[in-house]
Amino acid sequence: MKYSEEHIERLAPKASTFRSGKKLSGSNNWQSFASSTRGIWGAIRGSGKNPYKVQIDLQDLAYKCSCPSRQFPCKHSIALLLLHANDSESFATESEPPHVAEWLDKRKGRAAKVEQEEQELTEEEKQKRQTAKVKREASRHKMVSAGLAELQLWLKDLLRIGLLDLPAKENSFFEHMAARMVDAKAPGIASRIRAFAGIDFSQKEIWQHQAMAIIAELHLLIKAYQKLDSMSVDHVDAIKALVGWNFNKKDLQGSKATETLKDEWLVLGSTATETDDLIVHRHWLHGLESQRAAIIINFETQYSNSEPVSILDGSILAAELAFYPELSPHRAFVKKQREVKNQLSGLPTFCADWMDQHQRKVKLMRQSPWTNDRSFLMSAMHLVAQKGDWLLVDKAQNCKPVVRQYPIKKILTALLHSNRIAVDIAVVEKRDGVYPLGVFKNGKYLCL
Amino acid sequence: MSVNQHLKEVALLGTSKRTVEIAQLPEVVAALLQSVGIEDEETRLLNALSLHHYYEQAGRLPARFEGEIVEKPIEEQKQEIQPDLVKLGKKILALDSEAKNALLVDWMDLIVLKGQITGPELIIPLLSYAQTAGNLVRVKAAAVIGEMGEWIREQHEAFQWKAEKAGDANLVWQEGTSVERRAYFLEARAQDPKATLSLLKSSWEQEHIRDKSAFLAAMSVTLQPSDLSFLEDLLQEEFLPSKKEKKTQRACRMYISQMLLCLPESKLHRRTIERLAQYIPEKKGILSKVFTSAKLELELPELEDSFWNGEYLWQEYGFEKENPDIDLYKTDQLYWFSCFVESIPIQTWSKLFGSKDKQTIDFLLNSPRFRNKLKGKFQPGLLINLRLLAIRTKEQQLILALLNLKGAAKDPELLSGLSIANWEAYVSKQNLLLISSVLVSCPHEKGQQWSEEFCTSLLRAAMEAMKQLKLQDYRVGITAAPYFNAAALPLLKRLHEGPANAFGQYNFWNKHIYLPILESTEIRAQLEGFK
Repeated sequence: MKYSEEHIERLAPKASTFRSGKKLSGSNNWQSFASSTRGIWGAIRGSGKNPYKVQIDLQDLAYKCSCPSRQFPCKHSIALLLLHANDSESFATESEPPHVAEWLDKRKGRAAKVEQEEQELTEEEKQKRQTAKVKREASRHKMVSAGLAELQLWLKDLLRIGLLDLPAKENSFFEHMAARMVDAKAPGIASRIRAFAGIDFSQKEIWQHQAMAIIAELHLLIKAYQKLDSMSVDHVDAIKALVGWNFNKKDLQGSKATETLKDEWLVLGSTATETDDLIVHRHWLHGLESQRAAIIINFETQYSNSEPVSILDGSILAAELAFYPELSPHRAFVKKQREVKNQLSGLPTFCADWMDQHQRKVKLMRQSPWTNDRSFLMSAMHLVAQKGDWLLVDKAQNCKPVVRQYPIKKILTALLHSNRIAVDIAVVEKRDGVYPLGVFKNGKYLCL
Repeated sequence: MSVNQHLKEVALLGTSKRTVEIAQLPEVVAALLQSVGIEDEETRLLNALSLHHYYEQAGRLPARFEGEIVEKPIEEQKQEIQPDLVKLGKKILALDSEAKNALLVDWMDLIVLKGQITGPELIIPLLSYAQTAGNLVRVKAAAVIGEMGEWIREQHEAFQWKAEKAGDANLVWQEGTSVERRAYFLEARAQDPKATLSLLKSSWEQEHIRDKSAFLAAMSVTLQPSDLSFLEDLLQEEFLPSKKEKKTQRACRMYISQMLLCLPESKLHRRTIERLAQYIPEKKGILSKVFTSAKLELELPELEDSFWNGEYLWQEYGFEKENPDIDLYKTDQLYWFSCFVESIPIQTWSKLFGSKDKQTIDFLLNSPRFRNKLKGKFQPGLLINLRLLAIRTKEQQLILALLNLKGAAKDPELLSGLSIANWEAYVSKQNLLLISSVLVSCPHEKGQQWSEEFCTSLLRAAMEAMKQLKLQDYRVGITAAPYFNAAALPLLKRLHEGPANAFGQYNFWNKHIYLPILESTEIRAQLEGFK
């Protein structure tokens, strides 16, 4: 796949990385560069003694560079991609040098290796692993149950005294309980408690509603966990996931129970949120054939990169996704990627209007009351400003507000694309409004 | 009271004060709640909150929009620019050099010349850049964004503010704030002094005295012979001394008189020279002229007389009645003399003294009678005044003499007063080629390039510095970019591919010198190609 400059700009971890990469993207900066059907590679002079070796897997987008940068992709990878985007004719087609061929082969073989490893285990080893796993789970269940019992008491205390005191509480009040949940091995619950600290207590009506919503969802989750024994396997796994049980990708990849789906996945858009040195990348995908929504969540710290695979906004991944166990499976990871495209072969199905979307959302909530951050494709929307807020208005004159923290430049870009007429738009539904991701125009998907 | 309101009240006040009344809940929620059974009041409230939360979420329909939606697509009257020009615009907007503004203006001029518009892709980046750029960029941007751009501008407050000023540059003059108008005046005055004077004349009557003073100060550094009649009229009609005069009025009179003193054609200049001549002893005989020409004399009276007296000089020129700084000037007379030095051109002084300019400068700069002692060191007492004179008159000999003084070699205001040839020769000779604050002072006008020889010297100096690991000013490349002569580009590339590769500071060279210069010069060449 050949990436456009706009695509590459989205790949860059920082605007400055893109700018630096752009400065190095002239062919005269490169000592050598070439391509094969699978990837591109090159050598560029840096501050080190030897030139940096850069290699990029174009089929299953990934980068490798010998520079010491902790940024991923680094400016050299961005520069090589830009050079390829703007001047692919100057890339000589050559056989891959050994280090590139080895790396590309290794990447291709990585997915197959997991299945192979699983098959190579003897029955005895499998049994041993299973016993250890059951033991671990029982111990964790005990810890989580104790933690949740404590949380229930905490919630009861809050309600006995009344929530009017909440704005006066210090962050440490919530953080203390969140930390207790982390100790109890229920990090999913901890992050829901931390949501209290994120409430804007200066807005009276809003904070009261938000606080009660957090309590309501927490209580339901505690109750559900307490009744785990009486639930089906699907429900058990889903509730465990909500509580914070980690599902190892390796395990999920090897498990036959894991739902997988091959499709052409349109990457609608992504967000990155940073809390306590942890950056959470969320990528929303839409299956063009299955019409399924999926979210891929990656985590990044200062010292580790999220994923070797980059999910590029606006691209189309021909891939097999594996879904995490959920009541209404949404979170997924790429199990196998065949190719990346940048042209839509047809348009997906849209929600006719907000009522249609509402019904679909209610259906999802029936399956899983904790459903949130779902993407929807909305047909014929008008972006309208009203009293300082931006609204998305459908043809039946129903509307939903755009979240307040949404960047104004993205609003203006959406307006540019709309040209004062209704436009099909992809949004994520959040608690306080919708978050537009991109628009469909002339058979193309344009990220915001 | 709505159900939500009831639950909210209980939750806010606490179960110790209120209890959940099931009868106030919707039927479905109430039935479910009763089927769960009651453990305690808090659990009952928690159950009610959970059930109601999902009940409300499922039942909360999208809000109605009460406004009116008008579908009216924008149809541009002008054609969009070709993709190559869009690409070039993007390149310019991505630049990080002093050349960005000028190149962007050239690029927009080209679009206007072609009678086209930028197209949607560049509207937001262009409006965002223009938001913090000067008036010139704003005016040009408004001309190339088309109707779509105008509509986008209406949608964003930060762009709307700009739109008020961007349509017509005169709007800034008519409706801008004092600060904006002063900035505009200074910018416009540098480009077209005559037209700007007409603009100032048109609104002079309505100007506040503070603004008048600021505009006169701006005029004094861009003085033109064509300003003469305006200034003489002002002095005669508006700024004659009065007993109840305000400080600003006096300051205005001083600005005007100093400008008139600078113009040899002015009546004030002629009148003043006649008076000053009386204090310069005439060399009478031929022998005296031959043997004493090197020694200049000035006889300032020790006591006030009809000319050297505070009252007269305040009335005629707006000078202070008494010496305001005893450290700088030993006597009142010396202070008043310094005011004349600040305004009267060197050539006029030379005529008065019957000397050459070089001797005159030497006399005013080094004569022991003008020296003063500051912090234990003797210094030229008229230095500040001569510097101001140099900036005002751009007399090359004076500027060069001042630059040669200790610590003044990089004075940007003096450097920018040099002619192009003098500037290039001075910077090369003094080896100031790799100092961005010096380079930025070049007197070249917009679109004017340094000579090939100067660019070659700069590149050679960079190589030499690299060899000794002494490249340290990271703004050299971005400062040099707007003025770099394309004829020196082959040398730049040759050095980059050859010697630069061998030096330790290759990265510095590449990032801070080579790339900024190469990018800007290539873009400039591309722009030329489109014309």
